[in-house]
Amino acid sequence: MPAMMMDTVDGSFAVETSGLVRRFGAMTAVDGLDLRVARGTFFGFLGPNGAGKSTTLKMLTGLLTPTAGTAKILGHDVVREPVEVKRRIGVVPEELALFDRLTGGEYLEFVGRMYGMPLSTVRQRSGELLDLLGLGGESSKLLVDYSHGMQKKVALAAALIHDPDVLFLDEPFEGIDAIAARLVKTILARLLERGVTIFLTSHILEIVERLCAHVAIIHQGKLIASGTMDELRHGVPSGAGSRMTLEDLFVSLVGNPDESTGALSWLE
Amino acid sequence: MRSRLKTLLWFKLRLAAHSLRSVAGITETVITTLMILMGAILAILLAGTAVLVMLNVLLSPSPPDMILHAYTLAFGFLALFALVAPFVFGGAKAELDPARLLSFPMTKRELYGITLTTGALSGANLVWYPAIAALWITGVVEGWINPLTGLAATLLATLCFVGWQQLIVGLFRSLLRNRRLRELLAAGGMILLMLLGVLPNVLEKGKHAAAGGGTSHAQLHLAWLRPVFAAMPNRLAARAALRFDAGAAVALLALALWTAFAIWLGWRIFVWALERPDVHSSGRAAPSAGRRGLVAGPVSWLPPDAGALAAKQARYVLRSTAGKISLVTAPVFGIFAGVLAGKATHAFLGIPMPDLVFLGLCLFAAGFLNNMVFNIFVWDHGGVALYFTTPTPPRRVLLGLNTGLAAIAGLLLAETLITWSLLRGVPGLLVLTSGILIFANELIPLTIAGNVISILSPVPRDIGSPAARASGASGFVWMGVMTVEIVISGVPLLLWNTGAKPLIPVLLGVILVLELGAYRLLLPTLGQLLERRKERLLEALAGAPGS
Repeated sequence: MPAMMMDTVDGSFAVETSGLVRRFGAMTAVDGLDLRVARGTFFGFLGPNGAGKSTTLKMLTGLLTPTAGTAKILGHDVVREPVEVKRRIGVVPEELALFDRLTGGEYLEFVGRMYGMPLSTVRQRSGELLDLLGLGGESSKLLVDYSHGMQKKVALAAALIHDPDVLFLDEPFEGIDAIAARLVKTILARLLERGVTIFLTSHILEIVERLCAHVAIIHQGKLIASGTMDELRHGVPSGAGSRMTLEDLFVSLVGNPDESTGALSWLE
Repeated sequence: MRSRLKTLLWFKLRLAAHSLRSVAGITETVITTLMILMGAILAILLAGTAVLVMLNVLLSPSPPDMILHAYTLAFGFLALFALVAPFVFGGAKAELDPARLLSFPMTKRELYGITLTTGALSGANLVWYPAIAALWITGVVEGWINPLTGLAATLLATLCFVGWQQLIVGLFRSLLRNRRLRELLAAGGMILLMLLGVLPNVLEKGKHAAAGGGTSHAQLHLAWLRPVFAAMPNRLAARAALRFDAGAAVALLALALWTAFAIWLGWRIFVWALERPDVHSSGRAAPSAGRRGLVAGPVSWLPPDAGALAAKQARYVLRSTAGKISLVTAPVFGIFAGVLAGKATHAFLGIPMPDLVFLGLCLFAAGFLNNMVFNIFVWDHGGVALYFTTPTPPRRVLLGLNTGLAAIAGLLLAETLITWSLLRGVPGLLVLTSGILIFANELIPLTIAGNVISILSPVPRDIGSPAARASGASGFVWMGVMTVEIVISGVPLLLWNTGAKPLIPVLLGVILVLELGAYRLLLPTLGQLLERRKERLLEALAGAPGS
């Protein structure tokens, strides 16, 4: 069941996978994933813990090699044209994994240069990004001395510095305060206006519901639902779908636990 | 509180049991057990020695003060043992930060009590308790000490030693929580160890110099320490145990005060450690990171991505404890080699010994960063993912990281050469050029071999750790490369005593060009290896490859 989000002008999608598989020994983390994300979309990629979200993201960003199937970013195959793909994408991984013994300024300079940008451009953009994210005064501090929220902002700045066409965000709102979250949302909205495709995974379903125009849900490595919120609601057979939130839909598709098992005798 | 204490003891036991689930854990446990056994033997030997000394005293018509002296020594040794035992046997490293237990319904005072008790019952302490008990039993059996005051003195001494031990352990743990302090302590500790290595020699020389001086000034200046020594807990314990008089009561009271002071001070440190910020230093002055151009400038000739990687690598080395230690040790080796060369007068293969020592020093200097050359991703941890998510080709990742290390290696060589020159004067042009070429000739094969080892067997380390230890294989590979290089660079040196001596740097230069060519040819292959091994690398440095 390919998740066709929307037709594109030149026929290529921002993200397109076909029969994507990744195995770790006997365990299949991603099992024949077919996914299509149109350009300029805010796309939410959901699933319970261990569903295969991060593995998919790692395959799309070149950190893992698929066992089978294909994955393309903006028409470029992630295995055969990795450099072209990497030039066009920005990544904010869940485990921030920054070079924490560099200062904020040095880190952005380092990342910008890794994308082959001229030093003057890197310095100008890193200054602007740090100011925008409220880190201008902290640019000479080592990242190890930043708070988690500050590190998250730096990771976002690093993913944006080369002006990517597709932005992959793995749990970008985890561990940051409401003010920082608001700022990140504003930046993402601006990027969307500029035609950037945003591929987001998050456990905070309210945010996904509010931000993402299109959503796909993966469970046990397989795609089990995809479409706009309305399309997902219409897929619910009971007819009660029209009133359902994304959380309701998610639980009905993935969890649906028997409520009686959740009862605690000592709370009765 | 008792149930919590039991729970905490159970928890520690479970941690110990779970540590046996891996080969590394079993190895560590075996080593620790062996060390504890060695400690136990030492403690028993100590008590035995004390008894033997006392028997010897009894058998000879010596004054009773000798028994007091023997008991003071025995208590003193046990106190010292108690203080160092947690550091030797590993108990000083907290399995669980007490601050985390504060989320449970208990007061800080209760938590401190529990921490003290579990510390007192740790394996490191169980080693010396029998020894201190043996001192009391022996004294009672032989009739040297009063059973009651002796028991009180022994128990109080035990409590006092444990109190001071836990205070020092608490202070050590809380200091370790501060990153910068931890790094400073590690670097300072290593430098102190090195200084201690040369200290006996310095003292010996000082002694010889002062041989004609007569009166020891030190003795005069240290006379005021005598009452301090008399008030030390081991002396008080011995005094109280051996004599049943008013003086014994005073000694017991003083011992109790020492104990109370240790517990009170330990409590203050415990509270201070609980309430201070953990790792982040927000609000404090930004650490000095140096000017941007200082590191980035010299590598601007490289492609932007490789230059950025070289600058990053150089910054990391300079900000690491191991790197800082290397910056200190390089001139020390220069001094050592300079002094060594000063004593040698003969020649080898026609090469004057000072010149040969200089060339050897240059060869050796290429290995200062050995651990980092053989473990180039050592401090990158999860950051290594960036090498694979950016469009930089893997061969250029290696080129950049290698260049950064080579730049620092060059800096260390410069330090060594400057030290040598200050001690022995600037070497002749031919010797200097040859030395620098030998250094470069050694560095390139080390870099190639280091890349292979780093990719195949990466070992993540804390940047604050004094060693950037690479995998076990690196030592053998280093020795192999060194041996081969000694042979290769040694061949041109055979011309030293001939008319073709000026050709030596030329030949060494040819070797360098050939090695650079080989490096350039091999880089793409090394890059491919890096790409092929990226998942293993990510797993080893950043955790699981997928989730």
